[in-house]
Amino acid sequence: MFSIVPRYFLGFLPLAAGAELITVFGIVNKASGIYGLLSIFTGHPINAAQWVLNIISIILLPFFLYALLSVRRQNPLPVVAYSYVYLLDMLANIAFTIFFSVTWFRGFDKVVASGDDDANAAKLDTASERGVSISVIVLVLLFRLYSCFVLFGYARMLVRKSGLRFDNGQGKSAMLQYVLLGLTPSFWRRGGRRAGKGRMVTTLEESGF
Amino acid sequence: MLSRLKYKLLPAPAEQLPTTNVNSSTNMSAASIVKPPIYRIETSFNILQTIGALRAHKLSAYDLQYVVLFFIGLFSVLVADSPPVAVKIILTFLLFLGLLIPITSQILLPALPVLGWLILFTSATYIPAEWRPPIMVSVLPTLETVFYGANLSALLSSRINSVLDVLAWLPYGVMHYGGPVVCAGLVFIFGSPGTLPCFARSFGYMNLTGVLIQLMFPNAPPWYEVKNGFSPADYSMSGSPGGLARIDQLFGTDLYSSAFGASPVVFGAFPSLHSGFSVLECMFLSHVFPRLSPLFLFYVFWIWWSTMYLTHHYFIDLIGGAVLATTVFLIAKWNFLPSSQSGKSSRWQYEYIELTDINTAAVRSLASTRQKRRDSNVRDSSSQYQSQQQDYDYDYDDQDIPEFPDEEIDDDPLTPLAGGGLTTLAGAHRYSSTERFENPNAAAAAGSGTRFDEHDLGFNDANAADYFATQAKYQREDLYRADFDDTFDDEDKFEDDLGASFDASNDKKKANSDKQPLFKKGHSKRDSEGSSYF
Repeated sequence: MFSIVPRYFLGFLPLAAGAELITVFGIVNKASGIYGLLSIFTGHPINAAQWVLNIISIILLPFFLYALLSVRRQNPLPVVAYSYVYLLDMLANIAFTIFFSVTWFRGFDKVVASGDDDANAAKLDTASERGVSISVIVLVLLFRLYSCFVLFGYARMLVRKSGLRFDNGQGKSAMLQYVLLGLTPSFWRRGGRRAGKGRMVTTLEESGF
Repeated sequence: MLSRLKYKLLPAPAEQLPTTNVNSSTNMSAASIVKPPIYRIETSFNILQTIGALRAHKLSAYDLQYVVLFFIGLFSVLVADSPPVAVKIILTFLLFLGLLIPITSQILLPALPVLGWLILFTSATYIPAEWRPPIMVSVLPTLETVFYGANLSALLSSRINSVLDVLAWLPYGVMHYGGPVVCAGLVFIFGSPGTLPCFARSFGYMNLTGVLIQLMFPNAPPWYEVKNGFSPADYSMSGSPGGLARIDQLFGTDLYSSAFGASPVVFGAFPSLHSGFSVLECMFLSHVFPRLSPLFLFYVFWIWWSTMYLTHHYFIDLIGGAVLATTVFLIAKWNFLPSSQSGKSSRWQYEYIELTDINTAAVRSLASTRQKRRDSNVRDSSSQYQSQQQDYDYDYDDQDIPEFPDEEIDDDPLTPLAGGGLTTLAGAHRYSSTERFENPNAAAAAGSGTRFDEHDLGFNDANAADYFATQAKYQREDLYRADFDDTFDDEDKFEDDLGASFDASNDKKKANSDKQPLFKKGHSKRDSEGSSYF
């Protein structure tokens, strides 16, 4: 059956491989927060949105490192938590990207125009450069969206493999498991939404035949 | 060389008959198979040996890499003006001669991607401008600001002093160039055999891909923006040392100004190979020295800072380089890279090589805890069986995944006996303990590739003789000259008639081990699942 949640990363790699790759990419991206906050020392001014983005990145960096370990060790619950965090982070990132691109492209032509005072000098082909930039941005955002699907698919596979349900948690993680899997139980359940709809019948008499 | 080393772990080739060595003084039966150690280095100068290996070589999809490398080399040699034609011909001849002599080919063959990268990089300056795509000046700063909120390179280079200059120069101008050599040495000595060729190939292909991207998607580095603003760039412009000019001033030299001024790829900001080098080294070194990984990570962060401080790269370039290096490393790790074994600190301690299986969860435990677990499982290895049986195929259907391992395994009366060291490695559980005891020949065949414990396997003089007799019979009848690849093509089939085909395939593997191709599709899967290394 066709499903929007992929079973293979890019169509041919196991989801475990895709999840590991995506997590490493995430870690590398989150490192930007450290360099952004170094502006405290260099005295370069940054605005409020940049502060928020950098702080979010720094907070998420250790979490992503932990997530990498969990992904490699195939621990279901941390991976489920990680895929939810990744989803929220992606949504926040899309919002930031839209905000920053609007502000950037508003000032872009002015910046280019102020660059060359000489009227005879060759002008930069801003239209084509802007086209390239925008298509790269869109491609990256689409890849992030796809990564999110891959992570959820991987998490779901681990949950089903280890037989976890929202109501069978044990010990310390029982509450976490209830919250994480109880939000959309039919997504995590083996067999999906169709599971449990039929009546289990073992004998002919029972079936009313 | 990698695969040549790898297949040393398989049973001895057909020409080398295993010899029994009965130690009469201790009155203990000890059978050892004479085979070259896997850490052996080729010392032969005999060209005929390479030609023989080539004739026995079966073509596979992996051989396409040499076709690609050949065309890249041909393009570079033809496009470059600088060395005279005679010199080009002599160098090419020397390369092919080096590839034929075994002692040099073991180095040159894995180094071919690196050589391809170096040739392409140095001859890139001769590529005519009209063949090249237009240079992007504003794309990278745009992407950086859009994704990270600010131009991190401008942010970090806005305050300059000479202490920071030196701090940035150390990794960027010195350690970066020595890094691959130091990493190669460390990996060769302390890693498992086969790690260095894997590193060499990964390094070469990473750089080759990086330079190809730089040539097809040329971008101006930050120093260009600092110098010229957003004015259009063209290929006649020469490179700039960026912040390294201050180092030249400080030391009174002209090293970096002249080197970067004559750079063959001036507008190759994306992806950053400084980042790629450091990330790849970090990953390989962390693979060999897992405990030191924070140190290697620190080096990556340091060199990232220095590239931005010296206005050589935008942050997005560093991300590009890191993504490239990560992808290359993970592909290498899942397919070719031998894993490090706990408790072994140098290449000379390795008796066999394991490859990483993507589908198996990584287990990080120290040698001592692993040993403890092994000991405790001698009595109750069924739990261990359970944990290993969780290794399902990923291509499952929602309806038919078994939730728990098969019941029969728990009921197996011989399981506790066969516990201990035998079932601990991935792949070993493919052999049920019953088979192992009832069919000592098969067990010995499975175990003889590496080290086997004759007591665990029920291996004694009687069935050792039996085993060697079977082997001799196989050789006489030339039974295992048949191609065994088809056995493994269908994974389900492989799972189903494991008992039947596995023994035979092991014997066939033995026969084929002397003429294995350099790369063969799917061998990692087969090795990690198919053969037992204990």
